[in-house]
Amino acid sequence: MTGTNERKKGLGSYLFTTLRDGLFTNSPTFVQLLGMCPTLATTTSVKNALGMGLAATAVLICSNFLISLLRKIIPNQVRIAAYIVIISGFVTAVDMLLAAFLPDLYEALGLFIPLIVVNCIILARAEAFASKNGPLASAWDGVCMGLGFTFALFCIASVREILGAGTFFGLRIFSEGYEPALMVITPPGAFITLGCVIAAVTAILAAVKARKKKKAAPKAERRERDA
Amino acid sequence: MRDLRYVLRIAGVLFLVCALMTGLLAVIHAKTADAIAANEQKKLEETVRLFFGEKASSKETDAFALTAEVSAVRLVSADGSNVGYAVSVTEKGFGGEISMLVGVSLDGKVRGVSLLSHSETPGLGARTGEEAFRSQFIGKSGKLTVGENIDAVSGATISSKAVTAGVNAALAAIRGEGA
Repeated sequence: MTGTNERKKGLGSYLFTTLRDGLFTNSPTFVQLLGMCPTLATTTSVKNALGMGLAATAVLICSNFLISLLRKIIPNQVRIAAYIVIISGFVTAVDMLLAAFLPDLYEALGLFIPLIVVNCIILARAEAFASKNGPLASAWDGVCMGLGFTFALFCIASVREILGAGTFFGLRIFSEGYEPALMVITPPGAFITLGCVIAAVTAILAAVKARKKKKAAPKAERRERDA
Repeated sequence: MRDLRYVLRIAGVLFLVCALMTGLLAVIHAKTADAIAANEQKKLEETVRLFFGEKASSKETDAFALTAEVSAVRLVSADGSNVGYAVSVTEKGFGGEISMLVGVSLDGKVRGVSLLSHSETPGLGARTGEEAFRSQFIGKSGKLTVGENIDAVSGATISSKAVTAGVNAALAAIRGEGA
């Protein structure tokens, strides 16, 4: 009985830790600084960013799962080539499925779908995780890293759309008199915004870490004193 | 012998992976090809109705000389009489080809412009697809020039010029002046 309970707790905390890693502590965009090309290109509006993030997540889950299934069959020497074939295959599949069944979303995103092939987050997760772990763990890793990527794109796109176009999710939030800072929408603006957002996230993560340490320290002191 | 087996193993696995993905894509393509073609056709018809009203329907015609830019002309009719043309144009933009549909009335005036697909910069060149830019073409005829009778989208002069060139090509085709 206790055995299953413990395993359940273990699984729960494993799932949670991986999710926290994907979203914050090991965020593919903010911490690993991977996939910068789609990050810079698609964060001009929140809608584009969410679409790109979710499409990449779908590909990441599928490719992680399949690569993990095939990890013992694929020889080391040709693994990168095999991964690329698998990833681009899934990207093409997503492209065709969106065009056929979600034409409205495809119209907004069609341009960015091929970009997923060169998103190095997907290749990095294949290499660093899926090639060493089981299919289910790899699929969950894909979910977490994909959501982390989506979340990061959402943050950057929010800043850029609000400042650069005066809108959020296409809805005008400032009065007509607001002169949008066009520069934020342009590619140089993308780099500057990215830098600022990364700086902010790093500062927050560092502050959280410092607070945890502070909380843990007095307890240890007290314990020593009591003894 | 060992080397040969080694090479064959690597090549074989890579081949299998490729075959697997090709098979997957072939299946998905077979399932989606009709739906994709139907979506494109539907979008074309919707655009035509947007230009010429709810009752409009269109049929491809070969009465006009096609050029490098103008790929097809459709004759639009409503209630049994011809009302104008829908011209498919492809023009080189800033980020790649811009594919658009230009509605032209029987007397050679623009009825509407719509970008079907393009790769212009989102937030800049892509704004040439917005109503504010496209609507300035409506009712115009003759030679259109950015800066004279067409206002460019700020920061996206090349895209604006490309769309204008596409409209000019469509108008020229209907006038019978193959570029």
